[in-house]
Amino acid sequence: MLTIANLFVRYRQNLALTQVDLAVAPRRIVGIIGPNGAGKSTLIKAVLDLIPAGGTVALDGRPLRQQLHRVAYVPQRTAVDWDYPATVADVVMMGRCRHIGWLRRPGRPDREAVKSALERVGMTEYADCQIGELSGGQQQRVFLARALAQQADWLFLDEPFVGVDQTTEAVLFAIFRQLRDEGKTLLVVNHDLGEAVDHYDDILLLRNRVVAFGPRKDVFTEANLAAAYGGLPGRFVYSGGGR
Amino acid sequence: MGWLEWLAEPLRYPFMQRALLSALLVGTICAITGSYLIVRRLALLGDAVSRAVMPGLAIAFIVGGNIFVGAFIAGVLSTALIGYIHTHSKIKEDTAMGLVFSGFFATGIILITKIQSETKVDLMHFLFGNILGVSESDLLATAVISAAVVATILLLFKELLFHSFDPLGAKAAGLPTEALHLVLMSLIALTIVASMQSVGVVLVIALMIAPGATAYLLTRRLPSMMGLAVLLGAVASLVGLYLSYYLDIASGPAVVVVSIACFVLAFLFSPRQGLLTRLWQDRKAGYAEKPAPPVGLR
Repeated sequence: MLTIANLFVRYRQNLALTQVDLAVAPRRIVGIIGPNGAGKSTLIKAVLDLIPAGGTVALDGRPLRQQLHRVAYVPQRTAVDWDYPATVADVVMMGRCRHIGWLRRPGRPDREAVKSALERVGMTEYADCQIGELSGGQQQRVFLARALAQQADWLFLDEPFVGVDQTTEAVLFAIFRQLRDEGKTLLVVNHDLGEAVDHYDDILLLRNRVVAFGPRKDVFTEANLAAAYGGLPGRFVYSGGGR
Repeated sequence: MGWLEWLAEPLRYPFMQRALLSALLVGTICAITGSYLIVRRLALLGDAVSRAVMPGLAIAFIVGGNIFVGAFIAGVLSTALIGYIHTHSKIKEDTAMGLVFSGFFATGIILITKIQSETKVDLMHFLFGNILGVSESDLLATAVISAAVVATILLLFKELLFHSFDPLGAKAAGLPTEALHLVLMSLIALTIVASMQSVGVVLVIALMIAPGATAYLLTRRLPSMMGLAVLLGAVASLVGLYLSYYLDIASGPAVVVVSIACFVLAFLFSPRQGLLTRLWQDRKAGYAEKPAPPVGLR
């Protein structure tokens, strides 16, 4: 159980997130949905202690920041430089960094974990490719493979579907379901309200605070959607901070 | 004169032996730490730190301390200050770098010119290096620093790789990213300190990024990029030094020019990304009449 209590994030003068209280049950695929600027990425960064935030985050009763080995984070694909001199296998091996430990070199279990992670996302044949040679969808699969290699129970993915092809989207959701059935939990920031939302078990509707959270059909009510997206011209940017 | 004699001739002089050893060491560590500057897009920071060591040198002279230690402290302090300014105001990083490095550099020059007459310090030696004046103890210090830099990078290689590719991902995985950043900054400052004597602070940035940039065009993984950069750095140092001996030109600039010449060759002829390679391939493929595609940069 992931318990978030009174989480808030201040950005300059504005509150990017406020009064976030959540209890996320394990074995679910949770979609984090909301308009641009609603604080979706900010929420997972705050939960993982990547940015300064107030409030508390606990996993099974203990502070999350003390058990980061139980979580894996998939940043937005654009957060890194894909011209970096590394192969696909190098990037996936990064996920083993903490398992290997300081001053040690990767061993057999690490190479096995990398191999099976790549198999799972269907990227085995690209293991020795330089990451810059891949398409956007392939890069996203490599990022997921890195998270898989971490063998964490809780996965946080920031906009994994931006700029990826249909095939990759289907592959990613299939893997999400397998992972859930294996007992893992996935929190996925989704950039818009497309058909993709049907794949989630639970929806967290966000607009700088929690508008609604729960099973998909309970959350997608007209009132909730109006509260999250109301007053916005279509899918246009909402860039101010909520009060 | 045979080529063996040509090679052996400068080695008759102990000062040339020391210069060659020093150039090899400096070429090696500059190429390694410089590779991190390139992949982390910190080349300008490397340049800033190289100027910022000056006041540390001067103050060390004034208080009679170790100049390497003084320069190192000033170098690390400058990176901390740059970080502080851009995180605590809306000033962006490049402006913060410009402010800090020129401020430190100017202060350093003032201090050194003040003490120049009493002590036997020569500002020019620090600005442009004086590899022929490397003493035994200078060489020893360079060797110790080089060993420390290489050992640290070998021991922390996988962590530095993760951190330099994806700092946010590394932090989420529980790596102490602030400490790793500080380690990297210290390695850069140490490299610059070890290189002052041979190339000087003005040109050291070229030794740090030229071999790495050349290798970046030719390799696909960080270890091979660093390995090739070391080879190129060492070769450029040797060739530059021999050129300087036989043509009677300044040694630091000679090494730098050779390094940059290697880069130009890679830029034009790299098998995958070279400018001329692409033109040649296009011509073979029958696209000669079309205008050249955008230069082979990605």
